Amino acid sequence: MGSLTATCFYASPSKERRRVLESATSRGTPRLECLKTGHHTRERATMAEVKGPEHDDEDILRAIATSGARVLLIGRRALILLGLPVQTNDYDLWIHIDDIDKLNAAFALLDQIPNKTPEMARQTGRYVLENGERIDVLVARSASTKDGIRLDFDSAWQRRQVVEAAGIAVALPSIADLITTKKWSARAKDIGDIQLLETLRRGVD
Amino acid sequence: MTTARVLLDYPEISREEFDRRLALALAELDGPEGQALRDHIRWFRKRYPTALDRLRYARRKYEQWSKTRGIVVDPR
Repeated sequence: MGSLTATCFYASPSKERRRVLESATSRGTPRLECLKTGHHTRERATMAEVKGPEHDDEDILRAIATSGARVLLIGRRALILLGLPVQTNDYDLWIHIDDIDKLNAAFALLDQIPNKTPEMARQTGRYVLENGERIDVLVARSASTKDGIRLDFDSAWQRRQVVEAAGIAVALPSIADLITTKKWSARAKDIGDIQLLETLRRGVD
Repeated sequence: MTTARVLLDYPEISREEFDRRLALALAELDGPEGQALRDHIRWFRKRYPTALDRLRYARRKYEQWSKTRGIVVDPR
C-alpha cells in the first residue's frame, strides 16, 4: 500500500502515550488496546511499518473503500471530487454507526489513530482519526438542519452517488443531500459551497 | 439524539442571516455571477479531469497557502 519505513511507529515514546490503538486479533476482528499496558507485538510492528505519517489521497480513499464500512465522503473533499474548486485541509466522513470498528481497522494501516473509543464516539456522535491527516468522522444516525430538515444516514446511503478516483469507488451523498449537509451547521462559508453545488445541480455544460 | 450540531467547530450566523445570504447567493446564479461560476467549474474540471487530480491539486494548494499564511507585506 505504501513505502516501508525504517522506524517502527509503536517504538516512538511520543506515540506510546497515545491512549487508544487499534490492532487486529488472530480472527481479524479489531480491538482497542492501551499502549501503556500493551506489548510490542509482531502484528503491530507489521502494521506500523506499512506507511509513514504522510499519506496520498489515494491511500486514504483506498482505506475507506477496503474497510467494508458504509462510508459517505462529505464536506469539501466531496465537492472537490465532483469538480468544484474549493479548499480544505481535512476529510469529513459520515459512517454507519455500526461500522466504526471496520473503519478504524482500515485506517490503522495508515497509522491514523481514533481519538475516542467506538462507544464514546457513538455517544458523542463524532470522533477524529488523527495523525498525519485529520479525518473527522460523523457517526450520527441522522442530523437536522436548523429549520428542521432531517437527513438520516440510511436514506442518504440509499441515494448515494459513486465517483471513481484512481480505480477506487468513493461513495458520496447525492447533490441534494450534500446541500442538506451543508445546511447542518449553517456557517457563512457553507453558503458559497451550496451555491457551487446548486450550480452543479443545474448543470455546467 | 445526536444531531449535526456536533459538527460545529466554527462561529455560527443566525438562521435568518444564513437564509438571507443563501437566497442572495442562489439568486446570483441567474446572472453574470452564475455564468462566472459555471466557467470556473468548467475550467477546474477540464484542467483536472480526474477526481484524484483534483484532490492532489487541492492538497498542493493548501500546502502552499499554509506555508505563506501569516506573511504580511509591509506597504511602506
